[in-house]
Amino acid sequence: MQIKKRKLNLLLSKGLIWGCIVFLVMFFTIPYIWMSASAFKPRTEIFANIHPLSWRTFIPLHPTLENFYTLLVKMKFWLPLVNSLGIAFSTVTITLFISSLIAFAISRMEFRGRGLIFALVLSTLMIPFEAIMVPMFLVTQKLGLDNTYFGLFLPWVADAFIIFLFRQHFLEIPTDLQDAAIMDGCSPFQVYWKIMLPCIKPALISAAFIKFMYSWDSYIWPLIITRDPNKMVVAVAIAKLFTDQDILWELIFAGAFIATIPIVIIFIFLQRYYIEGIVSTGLHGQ
Amino acid sequence: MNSEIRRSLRQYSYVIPLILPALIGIAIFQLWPIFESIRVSFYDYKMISGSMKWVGWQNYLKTLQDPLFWQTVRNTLWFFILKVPVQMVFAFGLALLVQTTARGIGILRTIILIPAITSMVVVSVIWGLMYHPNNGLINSFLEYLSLPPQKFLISPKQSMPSIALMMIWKDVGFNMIFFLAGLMGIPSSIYEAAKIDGAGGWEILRYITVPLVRRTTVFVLITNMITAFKVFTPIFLMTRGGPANSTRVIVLYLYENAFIYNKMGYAAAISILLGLFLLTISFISTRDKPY
Repeated sequence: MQIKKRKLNLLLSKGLIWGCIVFLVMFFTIPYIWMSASAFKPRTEIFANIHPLSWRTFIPLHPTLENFYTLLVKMKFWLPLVNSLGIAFSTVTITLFISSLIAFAISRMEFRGRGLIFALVLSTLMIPFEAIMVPMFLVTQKLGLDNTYFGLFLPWVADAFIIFLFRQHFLEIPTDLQDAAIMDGCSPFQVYWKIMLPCIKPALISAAFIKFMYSWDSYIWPLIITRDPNKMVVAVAIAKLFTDQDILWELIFAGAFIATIPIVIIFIFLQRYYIEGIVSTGLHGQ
Repeated sequence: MNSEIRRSLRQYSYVIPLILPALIGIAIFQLWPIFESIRVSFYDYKMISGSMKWVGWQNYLKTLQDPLFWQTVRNTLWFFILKVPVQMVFAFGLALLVQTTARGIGILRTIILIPAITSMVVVSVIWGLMYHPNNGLINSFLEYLSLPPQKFLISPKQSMPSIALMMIWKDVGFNMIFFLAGLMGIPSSIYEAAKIDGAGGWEILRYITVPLVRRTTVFVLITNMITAFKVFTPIFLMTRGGPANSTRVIVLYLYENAFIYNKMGYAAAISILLGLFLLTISFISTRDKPY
């Protein structure tokens, strides 16, 4: 009797946990399934199958690439796609280079004013973009960078979070390695480039991924800094489809699909680095 | 002496090229804007005509007397209250679930994190369509459960809770990874000792797990507070502050003053007030690191 009751309890709690898991998986994935399925549906099929809810809502019956063709070719969505990729690539390479340089100097070299410079870098961690977006816009405009590609990525390349992340990783490298290299006659830049940088590869990967995503996601800044339709980025292009007078649902789904699915796939492979980078810097959302 | 100066000069000639690029970037795009913000906040500045008139503290006084500004403060607070407590409890529960090593649980963790890495614009747009009163997925789901359809974003009562729900869905994964890191930090010997002493699952949770992740909890609360007070993109895209000002939040008001009403000085004053507020919260958070 006792054993039977315990078995029942165990079965019940197992069932409960599995119920929870199924609910959670649905809760987090259904918007993506709906989006992906609808991206491959003709417009009429999207609206025909929303009411009543059935499996047809989530599966394209007559899959088509027409939405993608209309969006990419006719609506020239390929242009913001290329722009965003170029901007993200520039942001990532410049950020990684200049942040690792300063992080190396702060963590591995001794000079007067080192503490002060690190404090200065850290102090900018606390300035939220939203609170300085107006003056940042004014400054960028004064420099004549509004409506240019440079204006879209240069303000983002000196990133205190990334500097902080790299500094932590540099500090973990034993000093013997550096000393040996200096003995062999390496200059500080050679020590940095040949010895130190390869040692912090995981940090470089997480920084690259985090920075890429920030750049890919950025919406407010491109919106205010450029009015030139030729320099439009993906986020602004998708938002424009949504805020236009008559909403073209099928094109929104296609655009959202293109902007999301590649990132999700990269994330699945790189999530270890991503989580490590987020947790070790305390970086939190945008 | 002379050689020492020369040595330190030599040393700086190595250091300066390394630190200069990042320092210039920080000086131009972080520090200069702060000073610019303080300066502009004392002027009546019209960007289109370029006219600048010194007004002293007027912009600040106007902000503090502006009922619409206080409405945006209340709305932002309301968003915080709707979102953060639910999100944190949810995230803690998820961390407990995902912490177990059962097979397939890694996939669940990845799935929970996918919204966190999806672009804010994409999330706003897709949920915007899901909330559509006639053709939205959520109303069709309610209909399936024989529940009455809702107005969501076009109702002043439901607009903010709808956006909060979406933001919980998006941000809960972020909180979960911090709680997970906090849970990993608890040595398993403590749990074993508690089990030997006869503590049940609930007691372990109440007297061991929760108190031991307290520091993580404080950290997560503070970062959530900051992100909640900075909310802009989803509201800008989904409701533009409507209906009837029900979702007009601080940053949206700031944006409108700067780029729509052409009141740069006023927007700068709001920026400074918001910045000071968030800075105060940040200072508390640096005193309390996650671990």
